Amino acid sequence: MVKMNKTGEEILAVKILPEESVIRVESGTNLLEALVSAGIRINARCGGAGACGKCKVVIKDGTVEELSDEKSRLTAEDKEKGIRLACRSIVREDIIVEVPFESRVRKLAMGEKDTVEGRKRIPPCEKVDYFSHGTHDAPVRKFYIELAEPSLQDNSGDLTRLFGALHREHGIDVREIDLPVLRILPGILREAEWKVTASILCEGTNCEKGAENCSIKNCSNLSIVRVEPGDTTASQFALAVDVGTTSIHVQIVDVVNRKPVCKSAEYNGQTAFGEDVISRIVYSLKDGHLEQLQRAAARTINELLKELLGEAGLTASDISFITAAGNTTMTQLLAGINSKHLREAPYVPTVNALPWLKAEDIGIDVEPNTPVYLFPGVASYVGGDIVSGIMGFGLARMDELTLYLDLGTNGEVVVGNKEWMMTASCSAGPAFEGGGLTCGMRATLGAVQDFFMDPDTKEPVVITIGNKKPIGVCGSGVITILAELLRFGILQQNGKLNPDTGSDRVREGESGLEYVLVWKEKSGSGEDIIITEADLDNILRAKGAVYAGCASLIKQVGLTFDMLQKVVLTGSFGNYVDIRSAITIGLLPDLPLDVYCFIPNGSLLGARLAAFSCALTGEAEQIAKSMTNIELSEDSTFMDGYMAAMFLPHTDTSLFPTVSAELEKLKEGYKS
Amino acid sequence: MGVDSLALEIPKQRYSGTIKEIPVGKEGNQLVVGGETAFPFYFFEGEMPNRPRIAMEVYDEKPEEWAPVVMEPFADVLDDPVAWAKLNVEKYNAEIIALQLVSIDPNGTNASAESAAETAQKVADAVDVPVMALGVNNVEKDMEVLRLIAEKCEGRNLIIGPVTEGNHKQIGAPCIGYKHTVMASTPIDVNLAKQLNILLTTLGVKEDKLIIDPTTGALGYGMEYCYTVMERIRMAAIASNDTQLQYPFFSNVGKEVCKTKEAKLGDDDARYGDPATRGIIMECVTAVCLLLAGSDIISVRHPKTVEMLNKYLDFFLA
Repeated sequence: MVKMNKTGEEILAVKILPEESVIRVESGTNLLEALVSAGIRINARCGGAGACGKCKVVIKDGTVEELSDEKSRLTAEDKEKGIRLACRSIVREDIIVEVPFESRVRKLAMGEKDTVEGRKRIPPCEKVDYFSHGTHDAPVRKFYIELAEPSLQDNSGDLTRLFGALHREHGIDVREIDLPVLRILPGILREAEWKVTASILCEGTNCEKGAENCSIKNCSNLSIVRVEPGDTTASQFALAVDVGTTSIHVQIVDVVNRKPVCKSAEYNGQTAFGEDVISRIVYSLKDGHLEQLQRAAARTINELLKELLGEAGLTASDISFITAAGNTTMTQLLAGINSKHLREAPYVPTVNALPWLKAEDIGIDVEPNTPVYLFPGVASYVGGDIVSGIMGFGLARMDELTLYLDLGTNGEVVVGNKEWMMTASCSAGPAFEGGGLTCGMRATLGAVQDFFMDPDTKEPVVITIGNKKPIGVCGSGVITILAELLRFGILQQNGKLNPDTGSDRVREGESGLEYVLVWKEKSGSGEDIIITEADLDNILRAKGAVYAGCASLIKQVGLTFDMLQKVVLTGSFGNYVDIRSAITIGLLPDLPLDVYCFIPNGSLLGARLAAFSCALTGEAEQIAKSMTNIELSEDSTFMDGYMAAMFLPHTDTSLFPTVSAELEKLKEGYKS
Repeated sequence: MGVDSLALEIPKQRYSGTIKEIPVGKEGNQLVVGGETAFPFYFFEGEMPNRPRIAMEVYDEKPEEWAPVVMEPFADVLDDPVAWAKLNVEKYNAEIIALQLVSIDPNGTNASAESAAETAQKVADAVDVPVMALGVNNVEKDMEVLRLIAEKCEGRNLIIGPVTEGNHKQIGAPCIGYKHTVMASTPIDVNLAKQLNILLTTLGVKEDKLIIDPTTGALGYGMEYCYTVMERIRMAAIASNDTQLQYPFFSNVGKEVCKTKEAKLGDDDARYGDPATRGIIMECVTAVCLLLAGSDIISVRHPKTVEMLNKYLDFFLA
């Protein structure tokens, strides 16, 4: 018996393996959308365009209608096995579908740091000291107050009484209160016998940058956002969030003791709708999709929040406020703002500095009235995550001339010191996050993240996250692989494999030569793990864009790399990257290794610090205003620099003297 | 105070780089090209020790679609590359022979590497000027043919090309082994030109065995673009002392100009002028422009062009 819905479309059953769960969908539903709506976290980096080939599923029973696909990512062998791309499949009958392990988005691995012994990993940057002197109030501060009980003689209203007590006991003049708080105020006051704790939000300060004393008294606008019975000032918690294009990091922080409590990370739920900001914006333009993206990001934050609250033994109502930083697109999408114009010339954002929002506005599962701070951005492609990172690192207070580089799908770069800051962004593509590569993957268990050649056998040795059987290559792996292959002459300086090495690992593949990193007998996926010349092209373009972006910005301000006193690297792979390899392939400038330092996640660092001080949210605002953005697409020298950087390490070898010397020495070594 | 003491001193630019001097051709009949220490013809700022050389084309297959005015001087030798080469040297004062191996084109006759190598050998033996063996810009076929020519013509120091990124190892290695000069060709970009030079020198090509063609465009067909890229390469080479760009230029003018519509058109449209001189003028204008951009070897087709270019050079180098 065929089931129908109200409008007459057939209702079909899709059984998902290995979960054994069954979902009901209308005939004509896209299988990827059906799986995502069922909560299956599936890889679809290209936004369901059929381009990435990552959403492979196995149709165990029944058939699906296949959308025509000129450049099919499936081999005849795949099709024989019933393998289909979920995004190119339309459900037309009841089916049983298996979503294999490889096609699923997996939990981010945190704190795994296995690398080759002796690698020069970038040391962490020194932390700037914001709090050792003076007084600092959190942007939402709790005040305990005891109100005089009203009487026939003292008959002013509850709110007047509350404002008056705050003035009398703490010397602060509050004029505003949120309506939801006011609605329940009389009950709370009486139940608590007029002894309450009021949370006051400071929306902005007039403190000078670096002021030692910046308290809530310097605030321009104060409002009461919560009133609780009794004295709760001894504990206060906030949520710091980094809304990344690829992953979302959430941390609970102890505001009273200015300490992190616990943190976790997860892939941004929006990744199912596109890998990079451009494909997300494109996706958001269709009916209802903007809301879908907004909810997807909020859902990821909520899942992490729930996990962290459990870990910390807290409840949702313990979260006093939220600080969040993201790039301009992520910020706008989280706020549910139409982002169409971000990707159309002249590329203006809808808003650089958002007002404080409420948690219910963006669907975060804490008290609806909880204030939310979103970091201000600079331009369409230099967002709040950079402002947050710069504030967190303290660049705006430093004398040293510093280059700050955030390596993600977009590479953002800032140069300057406390006197001035210039910034630019360049599109690197997802190669450094393992995207767009034949065997690419994110930094999860089983990803090759370090690599070296045994000098005697010339055989590669791979090191994976969690020491699992290798199943793919992540960004940090990509960098060391390239550097090592170059050192051993397997890779030529133009990014092409050397056909004359005599190694059986260099072989003819479907599109040019490829190098076998791991034979299938030793891999966790049962297939050879390879890097192809097409992959190498992608990586070369990514590193070329990043280096050329930095070089163009440096040149625009009339500097040279050797004038830099510090280079700060942050982004999703800063933990693992081998600095020498990054220089060898010409991703980073050839500077003494000790100028480099890293911040694992600059954006989250800034978000956390902002939770401790209203002066720092003010400072973030000043930073955003004082950064000058340069559009590299308008810079005529960028394209030339990009072409020059698409060589290993660089066409201008004089820019990489130590690498040239190293390669020269190794070459001599082979000859002898 | 006399007027003489106020004589104006023209400020001079000092350059740090020098173009490498490349000897081409076999022992005893060698020509040297390159060696500039300033921009072309800037005698007031530097040296141009070696006269740019005019090469003349020889085809290894009888041309079908040439304009009559271009066919005429070679009427008796069009199907004999050896005789053609000799005629160019003896009658038309060719200083270099540019052997265009068009017969190997897979889209045309698709002649074998062996037959092309045989022709190259014969031509190289018949004349005592330097010889260039030029392929058809087909990565695979050029690779197959030019490496065999390198082997068969050992010791003759031919100029062999176009060598591109895609076949630089396969052609470069035998050129090193059999001691020929490599002509590296790249698509109109300073960085790409330099990248190929790095690849070739890394491979082992000696500094005095490399000549470059960053792409030659005919008048009206992108010449200005090619000109600016050559100019920028030369600027990087001499003003910024970029050693990886300090190589003499080769410009394949004849082949590029003579295939244009204007060069081949008859007299059916008066607006295009006299077909008897039109192609020659285009060849001359392109060649002179590229000499001004720094070209060291210019390959042309018509004897009249050779005559005019030599007059021009005599005048400027006098």
